[in-house]
Amino acid sequence: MLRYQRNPHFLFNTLNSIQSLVSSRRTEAATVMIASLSNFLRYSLYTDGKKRVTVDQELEAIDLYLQIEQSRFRDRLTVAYDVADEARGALVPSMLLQPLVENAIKHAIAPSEQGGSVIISAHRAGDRLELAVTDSGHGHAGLPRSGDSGLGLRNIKQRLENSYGREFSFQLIALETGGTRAEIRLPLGWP
Amino acid sequence: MRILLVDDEPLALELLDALLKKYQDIEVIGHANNGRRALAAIREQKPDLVVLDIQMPGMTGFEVLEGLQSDDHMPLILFATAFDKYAVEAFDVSAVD
Repeated sequence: MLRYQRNPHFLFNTLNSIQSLVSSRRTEAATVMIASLSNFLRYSLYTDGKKRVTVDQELEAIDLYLQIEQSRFRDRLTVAYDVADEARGALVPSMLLQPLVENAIKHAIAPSEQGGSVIISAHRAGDRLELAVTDSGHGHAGLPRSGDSGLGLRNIKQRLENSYGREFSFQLIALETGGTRAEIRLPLGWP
Repeated sequence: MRILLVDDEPLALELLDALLKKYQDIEVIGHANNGRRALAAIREQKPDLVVLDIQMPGMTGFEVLEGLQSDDHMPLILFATAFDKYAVEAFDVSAVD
């Protein structure tokens, strides 16, 4: 199933970026970006929707995605990871966090002149895995999010329901700083 | 001709730079990555032509143009956009075809 269909703009923007790099004869940067795009698409298109991967594998895919966005936004995008070692091997549905990261960029980085930050975290909390994507916002509270993002978030909730029944929580928290924190708690599972 | 390039995406600026480098009678005098800086640069450096991105965070290309309306120096404006719907609006605010 083609799951990376939510944001054709990402493909469009990335191809434009590659064209820019090629036209400016920055062959090496273009090659790196093509490889990142190719690897990211392979992960997002060819991993089964129900497939579970380790947190580490999911973070690897997010990193490919973020490398591409980083070359577009440069110093306007700051990325940080806060991942506990004991959470790295835990299982998550593939492409669970990536749409949240994409949302954060769309709502907190793209519309902001000075840019902002996206923090991706994974921790163990008892018998739960706690995942979160926190952004620095855009001057006003990020909630509620509408349009494409609303659809993306509903998809995440649906996928979590299919995988975990009622044994999960997923919430968007409007932070006092103006940012948004998307938080998911799942039962801990191992390969 | 002295040109100012305005786009929030560094790669887009680099592409324009690369494309314009071929023309000897064109001098790219600077870049601006948002509307606010564009307005300041236009007033300070008085370019002949501004290649202006429309969708930018903060101040849009249209707002830059509005900000220039009462200025003495009005450069030629060339809107650069990935979005067709803006192109029509650009003509409404009398951009050069």
